[in-house]
Amino acid sequence: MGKRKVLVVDDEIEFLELLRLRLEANNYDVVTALDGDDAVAKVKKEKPDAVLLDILMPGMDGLEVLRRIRQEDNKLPVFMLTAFSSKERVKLANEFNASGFILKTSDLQKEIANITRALEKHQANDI
Amino acid sequence: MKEYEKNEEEIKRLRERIAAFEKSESEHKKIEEALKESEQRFRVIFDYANDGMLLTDIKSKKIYTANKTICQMLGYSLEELKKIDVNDMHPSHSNIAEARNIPVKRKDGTVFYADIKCSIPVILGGRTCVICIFRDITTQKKIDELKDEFIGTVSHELRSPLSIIKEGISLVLDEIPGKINEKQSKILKTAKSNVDRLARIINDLLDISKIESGGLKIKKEALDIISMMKQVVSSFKLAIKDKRLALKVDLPEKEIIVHVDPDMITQVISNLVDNAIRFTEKGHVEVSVKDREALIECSVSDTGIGISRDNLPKLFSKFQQFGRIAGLGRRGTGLGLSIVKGIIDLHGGKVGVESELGKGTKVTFILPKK
Repeated sequence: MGKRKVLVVDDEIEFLELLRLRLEANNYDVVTALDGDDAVAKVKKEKPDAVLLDILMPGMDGLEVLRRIRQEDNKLPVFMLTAFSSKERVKLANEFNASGFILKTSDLQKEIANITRALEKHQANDI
Repeated sequence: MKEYEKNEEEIKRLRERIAAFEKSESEHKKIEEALKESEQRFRVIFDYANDGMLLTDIKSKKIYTANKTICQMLGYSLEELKKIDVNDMHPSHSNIAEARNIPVKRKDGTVFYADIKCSIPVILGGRTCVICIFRDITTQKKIDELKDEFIGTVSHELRSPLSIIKEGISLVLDEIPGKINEKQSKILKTAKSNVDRLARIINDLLDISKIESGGLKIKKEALDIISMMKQVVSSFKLAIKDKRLALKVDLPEKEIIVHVDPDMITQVISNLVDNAIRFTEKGHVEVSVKDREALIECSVSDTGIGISRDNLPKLFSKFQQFGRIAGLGRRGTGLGLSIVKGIIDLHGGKVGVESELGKGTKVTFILPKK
């Protein structure tokens, strides 16, 4: 199995770069976007296997990006990144069929291991 | 009796009657003045009170009288107010004793929010009336909104850099950029555990501020408290094993359905079990649930350091940390039990504690099942 491509979207460039290091160490190809418009464009252009998407961004926020992704593709695994979770946000993201939530202050190595397992399952179901 | 003597008698009687009349008139005047003064005193208080006041006829729904403040609040003159139906202002007007955050319509159609308190019915001039007091809470609402927004922003702004610091440290600790030695690893682990501590403090502060501002709304769901208890306890199994403590579980075999906010009650049980483990060096931690008809009684006890009699009353106050052992174990925030009490109060329950220094602590909470 070759490397999986993941698109990471966050307006905080420092967090983005740290997450890139973590994902690359976990054998992922990483593409990044700093805002919602760029994210929507890169989903089309780069055709990633999964998206890690920050919720709170200036301009088009993560929920709107998720809504637009879902208009085109209902299956692409999209994991929402958040500094803190709120029930309202979880509810909204679930309405647009988010694949999961990652709390930015949690153990990201564990979270990425979970994502890898979810992607393996997702691909197995697709075949 | 001679004629002039009779007249004298008559004159005397008349004088007495005049004197009595004069006395009664002056008393009358005094009463009248006292009444006037009382009316004036009432008027001044009534008109210059900060709250709006209305005297409403229960039957006709017409306003009998109103103070200046309510006229200003609503934009009506007193004469105009007397002509309108109170139901036009707010529909539930005459049926309430006390209500908060009620929308009230002004003359120009705009709406403001008020806390309203109404008296018991009183008979005035043959009419049954209620006095309703309106407190305009527009400013208070704005302050609450600003506070919520501020807390939301601050908590996000604090957590974002925190996540970057934590992930930076974790990457180096996981040796992703390259090998580190044991000393470096130890220093970074200390830094990381304190980032986690800061994150916990932020979460707890956010929770406590929501509880205190009344911003935490409970969303009750029917759930089995026994399986919830098992689930929470199993998440602590590793921590209990790490400290070589025994875990005792005293739960009924059958499920018990309670109507509570699942996230909040999970937090309560987690905080209690977490405390029990943190303050116990040997012995056991025990959780138990007892079915008490309409109530449910849950307790978490330990054989830890205990709390002195002097400190017991302060236990549920904020930032109280008793018996913290310097340099040992994961530190708490001092907010856990305040949050527990806040959540149990919100559910209409009660929480209590028994403890003996050096022997252990037992925290028990009781919740209504519905």
